[in-house]
Amino acid sequence: MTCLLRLEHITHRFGKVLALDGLDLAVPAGEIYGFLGRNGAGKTTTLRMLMGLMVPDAGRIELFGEQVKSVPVRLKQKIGFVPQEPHFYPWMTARQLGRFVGGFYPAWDDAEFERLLRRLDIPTDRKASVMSGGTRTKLSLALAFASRPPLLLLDEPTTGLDPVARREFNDQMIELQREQGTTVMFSSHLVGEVEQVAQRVGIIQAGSTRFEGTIPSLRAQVRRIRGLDAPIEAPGWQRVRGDVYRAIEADWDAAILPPGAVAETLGLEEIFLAFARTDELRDEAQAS
Amino acid sequence: MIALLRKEVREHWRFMLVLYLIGGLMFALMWIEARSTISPLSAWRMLLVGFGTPAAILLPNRLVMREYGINTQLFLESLPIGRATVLLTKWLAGWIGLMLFFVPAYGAALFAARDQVYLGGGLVGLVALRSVVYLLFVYAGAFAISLTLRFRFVVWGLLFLCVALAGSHVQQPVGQWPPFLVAGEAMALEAANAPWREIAITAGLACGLLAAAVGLAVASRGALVVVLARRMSAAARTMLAFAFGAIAGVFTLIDKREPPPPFRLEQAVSSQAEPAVHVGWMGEIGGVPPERLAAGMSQDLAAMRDWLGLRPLAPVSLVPDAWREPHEISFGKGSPDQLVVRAALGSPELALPHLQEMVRIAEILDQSPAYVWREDRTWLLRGFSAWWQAGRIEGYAALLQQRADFAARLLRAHGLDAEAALRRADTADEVLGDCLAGAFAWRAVQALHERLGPQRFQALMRAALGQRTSDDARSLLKVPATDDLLEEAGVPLPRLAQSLNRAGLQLPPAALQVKASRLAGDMFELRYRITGAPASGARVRYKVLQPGEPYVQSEETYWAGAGTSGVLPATFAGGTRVFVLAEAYDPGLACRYRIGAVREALP
Repeated sequence: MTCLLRLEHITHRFGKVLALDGLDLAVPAGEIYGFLGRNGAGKTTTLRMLMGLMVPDAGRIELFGEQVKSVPVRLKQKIGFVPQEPHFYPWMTARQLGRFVGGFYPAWDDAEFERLLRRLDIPTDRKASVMSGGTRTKLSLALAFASRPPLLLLDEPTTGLDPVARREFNDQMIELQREQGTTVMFSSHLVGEVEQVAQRVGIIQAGSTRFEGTIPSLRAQVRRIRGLDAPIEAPGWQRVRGDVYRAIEADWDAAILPPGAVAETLGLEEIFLAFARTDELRDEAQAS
Repeated sequence: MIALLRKEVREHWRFMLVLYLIGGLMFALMWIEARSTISPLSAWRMLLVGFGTPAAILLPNRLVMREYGINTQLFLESLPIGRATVLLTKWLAGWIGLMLFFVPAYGAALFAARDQVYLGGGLVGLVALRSVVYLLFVYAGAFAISLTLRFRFVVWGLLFLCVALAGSHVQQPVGQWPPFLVAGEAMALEAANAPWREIAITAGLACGLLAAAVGLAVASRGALVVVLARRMSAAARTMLAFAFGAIAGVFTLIDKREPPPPFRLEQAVSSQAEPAVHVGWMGEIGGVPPERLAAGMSQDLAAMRDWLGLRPLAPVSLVPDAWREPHEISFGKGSPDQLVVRAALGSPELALPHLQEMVRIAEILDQSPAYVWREDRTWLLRGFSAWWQAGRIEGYAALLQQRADFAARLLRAHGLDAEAALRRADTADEVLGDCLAGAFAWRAVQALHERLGPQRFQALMRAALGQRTSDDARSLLKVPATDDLLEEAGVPLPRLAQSLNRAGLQLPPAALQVKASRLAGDMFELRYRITGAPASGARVRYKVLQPGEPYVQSEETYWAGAGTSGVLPATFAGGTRVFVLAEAYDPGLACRYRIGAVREALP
């Protein structure tokens, strides 16, 4: 598996706050990678680091097969970025923004940008200040794809959009990704959205990766066991939360559960909640 | 960077255009104003300080605030461009914007001044260097401060506070601090020495401020500026309001104006009687010990007050001023309600009668401010003071008579009869000088005294110089013309003047000739020559006359030479009017007089 992007043991602090705590992730080329995490889990910090706006305190960044301490401008030219809330110059129209942004990318494709504007139904003569939130987000997507980047980073782009607009945006993003074969890293805290869009997910909690893999493998590895009298404590078995356990698929297949206990597969949202809600585990740890 | 520069131009061109229009208008106004200053290049200096300073502050403030104030820097950060490049582009955009106005403006200033100032490479280069360094300093400072974003007003407030505090506590005045000196008034002067040290310090400060701006912008990879740009919390706003209040309070303390302390001459010799006369000189003045002088002047002033019917007179302080010529005596008001007379008290050439006459004039004018602008009353005031003096010093009247005779000869040489000389006191002063003009006025007053007799003369003088005592309120507003007073007294001015005219007067022994010679183009030089008998201690002075400048003060003229012939040390453009005077000292008259006074209008 060729990875365009790889982070290993990344640590970063904001003063006394540990934002990233040994984060590991790898984004395979040509896939859409869903980066799931609660608010404050460290998603935006990770993406800002990948945009070269921050330098990790420790750890290793590998981008396009090149190991870097921080992301230089020449690599940034290969990355498209769609922020959570685009801060366009309010006095610029879509075309003017295209001309402006195009000046920074050697691979900028004007014709492609025009095509994207038509396809995403973005008005070309309207100033950014009077565009709706959905239109601004689509414009941001068009600007990101028009530079034909090998890697596209999206930082919770659909936050604030209504469900219809969100669905439209995601569909168009998937189509464009298929057309151009772009590798996409897509951060979100909306599980359904990630399930719809991503082929591979990484779940981050408190600055470290709790799970990374395809969605089927995630669903195969993380299951709930109902009817357990006592927690399972065996090598290869990890209790995620409550009665939710994680083990490799072969272990699940070979497992002999106590009488009355039944293993159930879970939806992605339930799995995410099991990873993200660590309060019960913390309480148990403190009690012991 | 090109794309960024283009963006800056598109974003700010309207603001720049307005700025340029304001600058152009100010330049035109300052050019008009500069016609009455020492050099037309001072218009450039005024533009630099008056417009360049606010422009260099506003421009970076707008460039930074428009980016960080509406968070569009977050959009820029998502593009493949470094923060340092963004900052550098903004810095350059603002600087280029400034230069786009100031470089052509400087060219226009030089072009317009080419006929009036010798534009050597040294002067042009030095003025340009000083201008660039000054603008760079202000611009770099304003850029660094604007990067403090929401705290920029606090920083500006603190900066002004610190400057105000330092200005009131350090010995060197603020105007002499290197950045301000670099753009000081001397910038426009051709012969001024270049302040290389100050230029270097200001340039160093500008570089430091630029480094501070870069440091601030890229600190924590730009995160610091982003934090500074965030909206303030309610608590922070409250803190800021308190900070402003505190700053304003401190300013109020600084600005609290206490009434100046009463003027007091330390170790002065004072008279015992009223009005008080304080003499600030321990040695003899005109051969008289200070104690005796103070007592005598006090007694004399009291007598004059009674004679003219004046109110109680203000205390007088005689202040030594070694920088003055002995005949240059001036007076002014001191706090509270005092008169301060400045003269070269220690000079052996100081004429004591002249000093006493000036003190008397100061006291009369102090009670009759309306006389200041009544030219027709000047001869009466001066003549009375000299007449009063002549009545108290034996032989002084004879000396005044000699001077008056000589004054009449000079007036004749200038084609002025006695009536014209009395009516146009400023003209008489210009052609005679203070000493002879005073003597000529004395003769007119003496003639009045002879014709009217003591009592009518005193009544006339009380009406002309004393306090208005009429119950009619109009008399407080309207000061009667000297003509009318003389008419009422029965001695009309023409008749009085006729009695002063003398037939068969000889022309003065020397005269001043001034001749203009064309140099290249529209430029002229002026040659002067004193003809006739050589005068002792002759000296020539000059001044360029401005439109609407009726009278030339002696101390406003410039030294030209002490020989009998020469060239004025300046070149003049066609159409310029130049006043040239030659003075000499006559030991027989004990008086400095004017050999000639010429107003030369160049073609």
